[in-house]
Amino acid sequence: MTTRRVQPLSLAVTAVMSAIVFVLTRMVQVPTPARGYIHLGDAGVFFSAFAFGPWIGGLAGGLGTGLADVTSGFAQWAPFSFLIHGLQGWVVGWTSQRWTGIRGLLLSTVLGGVIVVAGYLFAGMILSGIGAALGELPMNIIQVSAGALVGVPLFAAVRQAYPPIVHLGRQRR
Amino acid sequence: MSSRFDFFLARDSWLHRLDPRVKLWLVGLAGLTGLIYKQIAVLAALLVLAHLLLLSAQVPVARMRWLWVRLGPLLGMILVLQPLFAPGPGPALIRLGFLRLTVSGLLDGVSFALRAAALAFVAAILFLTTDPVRLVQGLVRLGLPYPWGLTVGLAIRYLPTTYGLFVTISEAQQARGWIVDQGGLGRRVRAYLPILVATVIAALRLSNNLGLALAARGLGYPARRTALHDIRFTASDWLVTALVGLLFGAAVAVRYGLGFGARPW
Repeated sequence: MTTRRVQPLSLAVTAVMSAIVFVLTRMVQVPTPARGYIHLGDAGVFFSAFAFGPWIGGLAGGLGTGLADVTSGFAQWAPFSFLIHGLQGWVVGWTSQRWTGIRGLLLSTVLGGVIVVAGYLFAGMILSGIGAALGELPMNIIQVSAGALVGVPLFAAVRQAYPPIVHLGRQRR
Repeated sequence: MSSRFDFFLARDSWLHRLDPRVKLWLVGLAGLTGLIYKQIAVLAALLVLAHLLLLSAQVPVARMRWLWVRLGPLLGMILVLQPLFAPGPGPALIRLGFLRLTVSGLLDGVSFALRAAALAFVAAILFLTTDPVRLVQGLVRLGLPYPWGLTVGLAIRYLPTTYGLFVTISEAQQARGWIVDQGGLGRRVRAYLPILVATVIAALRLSNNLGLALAARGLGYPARRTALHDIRFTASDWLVTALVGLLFGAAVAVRYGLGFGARPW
């Protein structure tokens, strides 16, 4: 088997960002005032997509959340999470590269949120039935909103505190 | 690797020895069977079969109990919400305002809960009995580009490292008075920002070093790639592949040829 040209740095950034998304999904549980928990996996997906564009954002989002599903015992959700968060990362990365500034940031965040909420509604209808999927809808909206609330300032703060991020994982388009 | 990061249980069973591609085939077709049938008896049989396969692979009962405990809230939610929000046809057993509870809605709830449990246990067959490295090898042999396979392998390898970074930084911030469980949800979520900024920067430095190490090992140069431990199809792999294919063919014929299994009961 022969390999096409691969950029080692892009590959390394994708792997490590997948691990970050996994940790934010599986390990970081923010206690809610209603004594529940939400995770911050979406913040990792938004950050990866803003910082590194559609391909790394999509792969890190899909892989990180898919691995989190597998290790937490919900492996049946892993293919759906891979596709939904992969698409979320890709669309957010593509939109934020095409439209820069606040407008692009807002548009990509909203699109990413809609993809996640609609995607899990559809996946829930297949796996758990329409009733349970509708019941999960409010929690999914809160989850993705919290992700955006952290992901956008996280990107701004990291870009300011760590300027080499601009050169990291720069990919061919 | 800690069980928090790895689902795999190392044993010496017939399922562990099967080629990962055969297990992907087995789990994929068993999962599809769970999706095309709504019949409670069929889904219950699939769930029992998945348990028997896991037992034959020397998976401890405690591990299966752990999975049931994890699935508990999801199954409870399906059993309650499905009949309430999608009651289906038939006379109402109970009426609460706009909510109706019917026999068909209840049966639908049981069917979806069984489907969720069956799919979880079927998927567990793959992940509990397959070393992640062999699984990635199998995916690459099935056509996944090698760099993608390597990315998956590296991501799995870096899960504990990245979590270690997060824990160290969280503990350092806690020692300096970081508190997360106060205020509304927005405030609690934003309280994580200082920790996440430091964790992400530390992880990016890590990825920089990893990229250099990969480049130093010659990644990206066109060359014939070899593997230290390759995977090969054996006679038993072919046998299981054929048997699973036949069983799935029969399941499809019964479901769509005879029209059996479209309803929960």
